[in-house]
Amino acid sequence: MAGKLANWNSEKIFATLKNIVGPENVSCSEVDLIPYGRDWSLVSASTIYMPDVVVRPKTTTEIAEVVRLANKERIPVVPWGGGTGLSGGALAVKGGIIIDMKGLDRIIEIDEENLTITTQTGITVQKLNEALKKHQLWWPHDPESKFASTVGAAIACDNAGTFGTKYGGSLVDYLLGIEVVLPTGDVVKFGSQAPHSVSGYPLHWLFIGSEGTLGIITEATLRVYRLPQYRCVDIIVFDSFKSAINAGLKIIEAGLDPESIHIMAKEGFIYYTKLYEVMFNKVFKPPEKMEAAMAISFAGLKDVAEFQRSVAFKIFLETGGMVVEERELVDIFWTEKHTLSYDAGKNPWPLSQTRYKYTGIDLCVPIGKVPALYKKYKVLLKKYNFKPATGCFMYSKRLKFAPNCIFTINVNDEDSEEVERAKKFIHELAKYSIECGGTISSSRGVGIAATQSLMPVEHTHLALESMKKLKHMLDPNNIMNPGKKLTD
Amino acid sequence: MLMKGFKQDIYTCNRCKCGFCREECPSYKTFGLESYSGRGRMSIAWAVLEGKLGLTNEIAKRIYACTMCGYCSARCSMNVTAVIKALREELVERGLVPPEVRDFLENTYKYGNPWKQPREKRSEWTKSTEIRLYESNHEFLYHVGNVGSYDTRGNNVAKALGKILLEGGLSFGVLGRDEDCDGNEVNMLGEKGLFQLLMKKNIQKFKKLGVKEIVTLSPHAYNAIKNEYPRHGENFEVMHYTQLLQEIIRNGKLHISKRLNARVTYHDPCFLGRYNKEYDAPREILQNIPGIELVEMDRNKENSFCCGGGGGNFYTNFFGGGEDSPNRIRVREAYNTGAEILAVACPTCMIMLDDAVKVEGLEEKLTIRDISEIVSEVV
Repeated sequence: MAGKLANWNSEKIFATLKNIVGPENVSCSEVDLIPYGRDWSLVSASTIYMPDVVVRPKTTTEIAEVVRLANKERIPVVPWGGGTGLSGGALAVKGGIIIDMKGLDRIIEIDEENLTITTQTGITVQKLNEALKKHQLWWPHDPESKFASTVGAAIACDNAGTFGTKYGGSLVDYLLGIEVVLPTGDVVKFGSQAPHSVSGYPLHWLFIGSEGTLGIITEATLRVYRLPQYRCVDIIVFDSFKSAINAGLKIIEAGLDPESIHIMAKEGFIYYTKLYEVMFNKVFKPPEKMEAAMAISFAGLKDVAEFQRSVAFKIFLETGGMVVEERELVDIFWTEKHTLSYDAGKNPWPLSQTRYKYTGIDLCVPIGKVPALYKKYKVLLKKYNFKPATGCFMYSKRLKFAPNCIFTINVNDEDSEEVERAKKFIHELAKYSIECGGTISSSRGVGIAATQSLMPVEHTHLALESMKKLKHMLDPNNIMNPGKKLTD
Repeated sequence: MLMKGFKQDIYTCNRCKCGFCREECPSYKTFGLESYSGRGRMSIAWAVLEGKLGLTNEIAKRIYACTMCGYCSARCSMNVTAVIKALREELVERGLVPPEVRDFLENTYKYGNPWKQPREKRSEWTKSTEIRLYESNHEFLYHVGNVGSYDTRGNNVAKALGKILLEGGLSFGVLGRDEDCDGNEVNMLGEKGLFQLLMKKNIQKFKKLGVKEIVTLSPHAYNAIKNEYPRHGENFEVMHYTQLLQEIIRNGKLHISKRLNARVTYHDPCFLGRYNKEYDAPREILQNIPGIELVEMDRNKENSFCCGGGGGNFYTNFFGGGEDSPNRIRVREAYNTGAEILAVACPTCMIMLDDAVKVEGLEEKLTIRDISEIVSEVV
């Protein structure tokens, strides 16, 4: 056994791990470790964080035994779900044991009457929804990574989908109960199937966005919904981000209940118009003054959805929006965004990821500050000499209109100077978000991102100390995903 | 280094790592670790290019436990299977292939088949039939392939197709002892040199005999002759047998006269489906048979799940036969549709799935039938 684990009693530990999960489910071979050394986070093309060993348990009991051993031997433990993270949350930056959660992918119960699902957390979001669909149900949490990302990671990173406007995008709106392996190896259940409870502290919510630093979530009970009978989608272009946001707010104020509101900068919208050109050989010319496009959907009974749509159209007229008439273009957007078969990559345009790393930052500021943040993004693009990739896009992460804003850039990750420059760009934009009363991460987590050093800027000293005390209480030996989120 | 030609694909995967290739990867399903998935193998390729990892037997184990089913490439704009093949070619060049692969290649080179069977046995299955050797005035060459020629269950499928072709009044013949391995698996295993040799030998033979049209029993042979042979300047009209049957049913040359009352599901062979986009012909044939109710498995057509026999694994058997081996996963999926017959269009798939049905104890409930066998009973 190589690496940092060599400092521990490696042979004995390896033998014990084999006993716990079975010899075929543990490896310290470099060939098996390398694929766990990188994710989608912003690092140079040559960077790798090697774990010392990977285990693939199949039960909560096995995980508890692995964690108990790690706690006794003071070995870092890093849970690994889909490995699609954008902030390095699943990377073993301090070596140790990667626990690959994909072995726990069993659905325990789909409760149609009470509209809940209880599942092991290694299942992908996509597979969960395939199973629910057979019962005419769905979990509206809809991240673009859903083909690979797991339910456990959805909770631990509190990532986002586009249906937050109606259903809530944060896991706070879905999570009813969890089973967790604590860093000491104890297995605890928090919450229940009850839709609401004030009888204890809502500790199941403590694990939302915990990024694997407080324990390993092994089971979850989630609120699910009936599949809508009908859905209508439209795209409306606006001359500014501000007017698009204004239209969104007026729609909510009018009492409409859109399923999703997705506002994207022109650069992002052009991605779809180019696809439209490739697939249908037709050209959509956006208005010259266009800065943003809004994709909006209404769902439910056809009459109700269509009525809401007709009212929304009046609001768009009043707020300067122009409804896109090209239905194929709207369908391309929706298919790409929500079934995300990644067909876009099969087309000759855009080639971004074949030459650049598509990266950026997830921020949330009070709604009125979004235009200012967007302006800052434009200024910083020039200052740091970056192209905007798909620009900025935003959708609601909580009920109604809580902006989850993603600002994107393309980075040549084979140039380490450019990677460092990109980190400075992200750092400065995140700092401005704090100045606007916002946060440095709204859906991807902090992990080892360039923003990690801003934690003491966003949070007061005492607030951070409280978080550290809480972490220490649960994880006295700091074995759970050390080096992430809170600095040591 | 051969892989350098794929540097852009390899680095693109490693800067994105979306993992969309992973979930339905047959070897990932069996072995569970990332290194056995498309994305994992791209990481291994990246580490080799970066000089972080040397080529070893350990790598060979992960790279050869791939069925080359093409699922990863279908989910991605990067050509993942081509990278895996390049890695295999690299391993062959350095003599790092696992013993099972080495034996397969050596036997194919020496005997023209992987089981060290004598040439004479290639046409034994035709003895009790009216199938004749190919002559230059024949319209079609019927390419049987290794499995159809030597395996008992493969023989039955080969006979069934022969019977249908005779019934349809088609003019065709087989090469018998002169038939050679088409080389598809050799190519997929990364032995470029041997593949070139087999291909040249076959091309010369076909030309000498004046062959213009070929119908193959196996989608593997169909893939090699259709996609690889033309790269060497020789274009033969080649059809998979399901495409020919679709045609002769449509034009009335083949008349289906009996009913088959059964619920049937169809398994897409990777080299017919994902590699050659032929999803309709087999389904159309089944739907033309009165009494058949065709039901789909959750994973079908481009998203079909490999039987586990592709890319040489039919011979090397790296998957073992445990509960999570691809063929067992696939028959459970077929059984869950409520079908009584799992129809296939490939002798390799047939044997892989037939074995799995027995291990799963489903023989009484689910029968594996090649489409040629089904059709031969209703004409």
